[in-house]
Amino acid sequence: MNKCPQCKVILYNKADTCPLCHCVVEEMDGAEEARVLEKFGTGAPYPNAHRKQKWVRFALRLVLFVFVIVEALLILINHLTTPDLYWSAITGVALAYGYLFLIYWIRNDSGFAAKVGLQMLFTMVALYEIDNFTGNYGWSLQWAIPGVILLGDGIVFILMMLNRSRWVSYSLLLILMGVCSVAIISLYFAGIISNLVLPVIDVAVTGIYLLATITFGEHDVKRELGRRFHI
Amino acid sequence: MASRKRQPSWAKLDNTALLFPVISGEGMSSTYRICATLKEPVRKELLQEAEEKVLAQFLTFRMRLRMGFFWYYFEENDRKAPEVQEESDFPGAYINKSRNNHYMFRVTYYRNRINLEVFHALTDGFGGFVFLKELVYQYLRLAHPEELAGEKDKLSAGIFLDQEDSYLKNFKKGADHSTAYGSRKAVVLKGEMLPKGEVNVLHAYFKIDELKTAAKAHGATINQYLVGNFVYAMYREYLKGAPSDLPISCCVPVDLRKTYDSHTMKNFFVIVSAKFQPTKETYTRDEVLEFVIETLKEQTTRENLENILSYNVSNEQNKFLRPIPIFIKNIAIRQVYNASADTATATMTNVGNVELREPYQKYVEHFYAMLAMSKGQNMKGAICSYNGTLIVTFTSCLSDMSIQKRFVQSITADGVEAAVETNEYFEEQPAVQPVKGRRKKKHEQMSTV
Repeated sequence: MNKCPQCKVILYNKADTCPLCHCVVEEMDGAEEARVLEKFGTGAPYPNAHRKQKWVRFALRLVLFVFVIVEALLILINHLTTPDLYWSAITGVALAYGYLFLIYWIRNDSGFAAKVGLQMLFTMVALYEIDNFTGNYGWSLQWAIPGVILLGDGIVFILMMLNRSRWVSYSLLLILMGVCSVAIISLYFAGIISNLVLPVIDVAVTGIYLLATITFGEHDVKRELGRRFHI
Repeated sequence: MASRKRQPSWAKLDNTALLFPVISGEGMSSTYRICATLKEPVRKELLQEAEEKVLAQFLTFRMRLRMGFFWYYFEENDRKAPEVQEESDFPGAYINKSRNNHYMFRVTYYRNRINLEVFHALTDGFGGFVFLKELVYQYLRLAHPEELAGEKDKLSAGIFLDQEDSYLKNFKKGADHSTAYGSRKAVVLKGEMLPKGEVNVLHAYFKIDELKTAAKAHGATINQYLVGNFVYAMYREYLKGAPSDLPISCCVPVDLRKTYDSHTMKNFFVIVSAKFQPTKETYTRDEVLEFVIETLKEQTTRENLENILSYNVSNEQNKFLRPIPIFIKNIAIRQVYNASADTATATMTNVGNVELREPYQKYVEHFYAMLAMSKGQNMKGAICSYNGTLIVTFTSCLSDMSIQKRFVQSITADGVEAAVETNEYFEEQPAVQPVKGRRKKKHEQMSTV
């Protein structure tokens, strides 16, 4: 143990300087150290936490660096091969989307259901925007987004199977899929889309799935929804 | 006949807890750490076993946070207890719940120290210490089965596992809200910041009897004396003893359990502020202490505490606000929080005196607490005492430690002996390290002086 001649405090840390005033410390003799230990007890040092912090930061920055390099290369290839069509903008959006969701999945501590639900919604918006950007052919609303809803149904099913003891907790995600299915099919009646194949499949699959969940879930689903919607 | 599976219980968040899920993240963890230092090295496997045994009996800690359409809520968590790990991060680091079996606390250890880090939505320091003490008792029973053979292997008799929402229970409609909180901006401590996620920790050890004598000489209680010296240190080191348009405002959480005869394990505190605005050149320490003592006395009356409590709860109880979807509420809560973040300079909390049952006392050296940083507050202090020693722990994300220095020097000037310890030096390495980044710069500057 040391003592700071400037601050007149005892220092548990075995450092050459005082952490408060940076004055070079003096070593305590055995008798004085024994007195201090008797009076204050022993200290409790800390580990070096810098290593862990740096590793996580480095990993995320490495991924960002690679993404930026890849996108720069794609812009260059785009410029050299098809300068009239800016397809590299789509890859840029896709890479940004990928990076942001990588951070979201690593850092956000919501459950799987919330993460999947949010990612589904963002994917739908991203697909719609890409469709708009590339000439608004309507493929996003008629095929891609309904496809995402079907994929969502599949993911909910897998999650329920993998986590059978808590399967009810995914029922809100299933309701979200149901709402999206109804929204998509209503676009047909509003005259925005003309092909009904996938939207109908969506409504049918999600509807049957929801019905089965409510039927077999009985009180569990009711309880889950009661908690989720308590005011 | 097979019995129906027991349904996990659930609970609404208490009034204080409502804020934390909204504002917390990697950048602001809303996590506090409380520690017990033993007189022997901690054994991981025994600590894990102790955690599992104790957790099974504490429903408050056996909860996970879930998001509803209108409100967050707690639901009983039936997953495995979180794994006890050797400390490898800075104190108060964010608890990523999805990587922690959805629990909102973690137990770590390092050499002789057991750390319990708790997400503040779960409970306050009172509840945290109830859990930590039982964890320490259980650990010691496992580590010393023969010496503690006479001790029953169960929770201590007399502790309350009450989970009532004492805010709601004691809320009175129609209380005067005008004096509850000020919206006036306060001094914000700025300076060179440590890299994101890092935090400076400084423990200052004092003997309670010496502190009591010093505080008495200034006409203050120990708490008022320590808060007053903290405010004085900020005034001298940050404002350089000059007049300021803004006050130094130090938040002081007040435990309401004694005031309202509550034994809840949930959060139950309000925050008052020790304020000091220098309007002339150079105040003495005694003058600053007087200001602080006066403002603390004014605010800790039962009537004022009641007003603050009622103000806090009235917003939650508003029948027009309750049915607003959570994503809109979250935006509003974040806005209000950000707007009010610069009304406080720092925080100094006193978690009180920890008392252990007699047979366990000889195994435990110290208890202490520390707070994580929050928006606008780059330095916080936590006071905790045990067995005649009081430890003030400062956590800060500023690289400069002159406020802490002034605080300790002011107290030692009153004849109180102090010992300090920081997390800046690691004992497994040589004392003077070739430190990288900003810390290296600091060391280089030091060596050139």
